[in-house]
Amino acid sequence: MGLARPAAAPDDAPPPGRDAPGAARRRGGTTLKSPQNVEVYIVDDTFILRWNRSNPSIRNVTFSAYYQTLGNDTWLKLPGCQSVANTTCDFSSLKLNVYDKVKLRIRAEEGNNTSPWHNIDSFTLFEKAQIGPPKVHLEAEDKTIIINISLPGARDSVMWALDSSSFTYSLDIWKNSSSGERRTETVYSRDKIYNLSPETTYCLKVKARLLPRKNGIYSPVYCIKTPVANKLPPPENIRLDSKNNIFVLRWDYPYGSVKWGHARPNVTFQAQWLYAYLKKIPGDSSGKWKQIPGCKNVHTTQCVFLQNTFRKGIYLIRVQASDGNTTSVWSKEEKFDAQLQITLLPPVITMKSTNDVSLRVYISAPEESENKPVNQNFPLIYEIVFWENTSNAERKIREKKTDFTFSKLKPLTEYCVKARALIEDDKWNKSSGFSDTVCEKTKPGNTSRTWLIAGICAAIFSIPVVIYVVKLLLRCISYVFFPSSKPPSTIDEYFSEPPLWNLLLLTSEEQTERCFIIENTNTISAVEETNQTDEDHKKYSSQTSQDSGNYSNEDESGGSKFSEELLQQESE
Amino acid sequence: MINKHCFEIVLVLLASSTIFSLELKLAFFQQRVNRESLKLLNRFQKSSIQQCLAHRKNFLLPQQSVNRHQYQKGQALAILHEMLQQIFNLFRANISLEGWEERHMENFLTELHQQLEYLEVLMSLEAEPNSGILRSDNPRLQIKRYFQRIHNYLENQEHSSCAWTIIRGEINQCLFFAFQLIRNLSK
Repeated sequence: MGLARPAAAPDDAPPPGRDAPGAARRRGGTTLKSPQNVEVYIVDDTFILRWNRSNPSIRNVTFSAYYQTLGNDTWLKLPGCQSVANTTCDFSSLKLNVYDKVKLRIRAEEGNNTSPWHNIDSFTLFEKAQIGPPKVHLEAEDKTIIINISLPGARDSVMWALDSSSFTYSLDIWKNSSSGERRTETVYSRDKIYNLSPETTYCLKVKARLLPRKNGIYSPVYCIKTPVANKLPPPENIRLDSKNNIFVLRWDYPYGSVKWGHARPNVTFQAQWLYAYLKKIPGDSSGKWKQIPGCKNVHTTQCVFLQNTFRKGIYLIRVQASDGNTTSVWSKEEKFDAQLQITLLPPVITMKSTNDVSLRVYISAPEESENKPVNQNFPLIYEIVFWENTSNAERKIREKKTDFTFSKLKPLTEYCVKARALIEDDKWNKSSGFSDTVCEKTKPGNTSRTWLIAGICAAIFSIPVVIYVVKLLLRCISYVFFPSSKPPSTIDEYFSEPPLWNLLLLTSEEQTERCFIIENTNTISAVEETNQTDEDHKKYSSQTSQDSGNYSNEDESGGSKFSEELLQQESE
Repeated sequence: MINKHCFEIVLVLLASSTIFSLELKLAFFQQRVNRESLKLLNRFQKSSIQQCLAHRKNFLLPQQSVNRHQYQKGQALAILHEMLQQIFNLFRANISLEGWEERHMENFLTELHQQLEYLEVLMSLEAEPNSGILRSDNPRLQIKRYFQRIHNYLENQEHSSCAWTIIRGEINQCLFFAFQLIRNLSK
């Protein structure tokens, strides 16, 4: 075998001498080197060890590999990999726990001459293993292809023994005629591909996947031609709504009795369900579909059943149309989560107008204590529809937050909002119904508020002005219409006296000046006689003058008398 | 060492908001799965536990090795996922059941399946750390080894009813451990 290899060209290798019994590892100056690029290649239950020669020139080189399991110090011969002349060997017959660590080492040998060991870091067979191409069986029926994927590996595969229900399959399908449009779907091991064209050849390939990150090798391409479409098509667009404590199952059937009455007046429908987990289990579960009570031989495109028909869990539902003796194929199997279906209820919205012409929206979970956990903890998205009450222009947004604000709105305008909860990921695509519509008027905006403040300020300032004006007006009016009655002249005289009194007081202040001027006292007696009251005052003034007098008493009295005289002169 | 801890702390801080909701949901799951598995077990307590005591075996639930570190969320989810997946795989083959038992088994598998679906959604949001980081100690593999021991035991016992009784007790313990993991996760 080794001789046949073209790599072992004789020219660049020294002629191999006969191995003397005691010869060292050295032969003609060359050391036997350990193999390079050693690699463990595992697909399903086939274990391959591959390497490259380091001394392509040396003929008759063979390779031997040994293994060691964890906790065991002895190196054991790797079955199928002893004295191999090739650069690959198959050690599938090794019966090892695929989850246990194993170490390998390999060396080149030529007679008694051996290379150093090449060691491979410890690994587990399972971690190294790739998922092989699955075998696929196809059948075409109406506008669907039925696929039947067999588990990767052999029937009694050791490698995947614990993963038989953990595989998912990724399928690529395309029309044979066009190489362009490819569709990728995740399918169960027994599944159907829907919505295909009749009488068309489709090709597909499948690979298995295993969490967390094992991606299998693609199967070969399989092709199949879909037949002529059935005369009786299956129902479409199956959906389930929950109301109070019932489920309403609806579907579309545009060819049947309901809308197109005359074409097929006798079409009836039946619906069945299946535990979705059965699809995870390899094998045929087609016999395990069960009739949905109340959904057998119905003439309408809907049927109703109690929610307690289904426990919490995930189910599949399918519907079939029948017309006399002919039946359609089953519809697409619709997956539904009973709990989610019930608990995915419309959210509750409250809206508040804030000062800056914005509306703040709060979304909360509906109050239903029993089923709260799922609804609250599933990563929900809210779709919010927002519009001005008077117009029909809607704004649709998606939010993960439950508290957000619509800003830059028109002041003093009524806006309405409604929302629904959505679940959208690669497994689910569900939505709740819409919540009640909530409307709210925005507050007057910033601009009008400043006007308001200005207005209030102006009003406050104008009040005294107004009061003053009113007062003036009243005075005018009262002057014109109610002239003030003049008191009689006697009273007037009487009233005119107080100013005299004042003057009196004033003069007492100015006394000093007067004091110097007045010298003759002749007039005093005459003044004394004039008035009694004046007399009293004279006394008073003399008293006061006494208090403050720096001058003689004579001067004082003289002064006061003089002032009286003056007064008299004035009054005359 | 310090780096590793810092990394974990940051991750925990980042993840804490989502962990809370996860915890709630899984706690809810815990109740229901417990109920179903207890229903299954109770039946055996009445009949055959006494006579099966001789068949007991320690399956070495990888409790300590899994509990040893404070796991990142991604890893904890992976452990839970592998565990539930394996329990599902173990019981789905258990076909020869009487009517009453079958109904409970269906409920149990339905619960498991639903939780697996939820977990897979969560896991798609949370990157599972590459097992390369933990080569010496891939938790998924430890769980697989544990279930391998269970499968081997059942095979050796030729799937006798006693063997199944023992296994159901064991799985109850395993579920209990899973719930503990969920609680630790939320701390």
